[in-house]
Amino acid sequence: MFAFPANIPSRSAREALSRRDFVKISGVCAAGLATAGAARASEKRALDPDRRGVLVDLTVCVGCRRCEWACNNANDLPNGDLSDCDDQSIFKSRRRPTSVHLTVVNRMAGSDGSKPIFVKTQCMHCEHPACVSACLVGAMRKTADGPVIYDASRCIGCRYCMVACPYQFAAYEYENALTPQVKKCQLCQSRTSRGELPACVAMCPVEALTYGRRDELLKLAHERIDCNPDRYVNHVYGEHEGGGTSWLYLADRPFTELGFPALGPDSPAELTETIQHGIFKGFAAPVMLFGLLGAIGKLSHASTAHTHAEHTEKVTP
Amino acid sequence: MKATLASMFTASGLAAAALLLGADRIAPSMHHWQEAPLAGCRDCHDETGRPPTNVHQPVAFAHDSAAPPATSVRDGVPDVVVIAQLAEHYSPVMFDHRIHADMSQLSGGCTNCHHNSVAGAQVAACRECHSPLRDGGTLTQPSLKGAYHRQCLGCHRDWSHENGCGYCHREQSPRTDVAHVIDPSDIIMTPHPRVQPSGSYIYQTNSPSGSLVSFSHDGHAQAYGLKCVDCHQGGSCSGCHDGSAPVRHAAGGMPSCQACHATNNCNFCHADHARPAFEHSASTGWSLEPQHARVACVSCHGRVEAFLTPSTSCRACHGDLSPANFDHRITGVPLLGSHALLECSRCHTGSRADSPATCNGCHADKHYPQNAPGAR
Repeated sequence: MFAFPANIPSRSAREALSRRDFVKISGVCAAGLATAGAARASEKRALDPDRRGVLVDLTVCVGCRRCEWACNNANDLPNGDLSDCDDQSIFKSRRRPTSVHLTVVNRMAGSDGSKPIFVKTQCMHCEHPACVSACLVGAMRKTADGPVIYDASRCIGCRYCMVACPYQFAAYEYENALTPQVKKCQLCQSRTSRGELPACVAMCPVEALTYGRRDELLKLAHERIDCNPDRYVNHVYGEHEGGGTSWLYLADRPFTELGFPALGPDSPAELTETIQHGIFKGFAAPVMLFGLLGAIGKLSHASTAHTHAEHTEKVTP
Repeated sequence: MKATLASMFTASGLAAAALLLGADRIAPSMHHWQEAPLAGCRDCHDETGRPPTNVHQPVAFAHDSAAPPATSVRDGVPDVVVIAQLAEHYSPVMFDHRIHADMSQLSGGCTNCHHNSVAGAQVAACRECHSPLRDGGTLTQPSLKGAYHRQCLGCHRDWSHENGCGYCHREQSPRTDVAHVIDPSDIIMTPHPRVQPSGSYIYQTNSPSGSLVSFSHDGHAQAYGLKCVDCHQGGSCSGCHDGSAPVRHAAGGMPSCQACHATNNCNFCHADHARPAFEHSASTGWSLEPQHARVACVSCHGRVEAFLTPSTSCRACHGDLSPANFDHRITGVPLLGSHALLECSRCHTGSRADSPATCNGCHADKHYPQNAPGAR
């Protein structure tokens, strides 16, 4: 706390009064803004009941990496020849999506020596995305029909979205000094709006990827588990994780062995939004804050006035 | 049957309705039902009415009852199948059906690929269920392209680690020149590279009755006349081929010794030392040459699960060995001339019935031929 020098009380008191006026005015303004902001945030994001998603059956994936090639092709990212995908040496190290590979396939060895399984990763397109919650400027947007879309024209490059992502799947163009963007899967919205499948889904030779309504995909996933209990673990990753995701996964082993984070059923954004929205609900926090400040100010003013009076009495001849 | 996707799903829906109504049979408009000589709805569909799946395939139906059924893997199956249904998109694939059919005997047979089909029924073509279009109106089935790729890559990626397009999609496959086989019932004579059964294995165990178990692979594969598939069942390609090493002789799905040798005698297998491979004459003192060598073990020893020591009496097996009932020529010693008139006991003088005949009772200069039946 800043303490005023004791030898200039009258000046301090005059300034405190003027500051109080300022605080009153700014408090009213802030209250108005906060109320409006809280009202916006408290609106439940409405999701289309027929929003889309993708079901990945990891027991079917053969690790051909054609999805990576198709993704780069569809997004005008640097791409090699199709036969480059046959290079198996790339599986030696585990990869994350980057600014030039929005989806990557990793080979995961089983913990008990079971045969390896291939895991495709990309933005999961959460139902209640933390990146959208963290974005200061609305550059990340959850569309009603499923995809989480990034708008580079709004982005200020703070990269809060990347920190907020529980999967760490968003990437940044660090190599681009002038106009860097956050890069992530957009679920091929340009293709799906034309009635086409996402590029990776269309390319997959074994059709390990199924694009469709999320509710139908969930039903399908549970049917597959019911019909083939020996083939799958009884868990659809993304059904509940982090509040649910548009990308859903089936596998033959626990997902924690495959590098998937163990998330609770609430969105990571849920906690922060609840706290922040709760604080500002009904203008409670500003009222309490400024009430407290006002009380401190009043007490301080009374004390200062009393001291000033005493001082005045003492110097009176 | 032309089981289109639409009809399959309409059928499954109606099957569910029939189940709900307690109907025992589906209306005769169901194509697959009309041609399937089977019982109730639940033979195919579970209580949810869902269609049978790749794995959940409780029953199969004849897709084309007019076509002659294939009665064995050899009968009426093609050597090479040209997969060209999607030729406008992909170069045709020459699929070596014969070698896959032969090798499938080790791991489940035709239904490995021809799911929802059973032996004895004409198998359905993939395209009868799997639509050439990706969005065939259902999410539950892969399209024709996906179905083909799953069938091929599902196995090949495990053991050859091949998943490149060029592995299958090329103009000519060097493996389409399939030699015809000699023994149709075993893989040893198939176009699969001839399997060389290795000699013997000595297994180290913790058993107090003898830590070593000697297993003669040669004996089982050759002397006992077992076929590979008699033991190697339920395995997979990658059980032998793991990609890095061409062949690994440790196929999965092997039955334990006790599957055949159900004995409580630990010493049947366990010993403190490595045992030599079993040889009937040396190990038991009973030569099988020449005639008994052609007889299956179980003919004398009963169940293979627990070998019995048979009686050494010839009559125990051969019954009445009077000259009228026994053709002495099969012993390798035809009874010619006056020999045919002799009583058996004139030559077979030993107390045991298997005692070799003696010639020198009459012929001072003759000896009984070597390798004749009986103990030495």
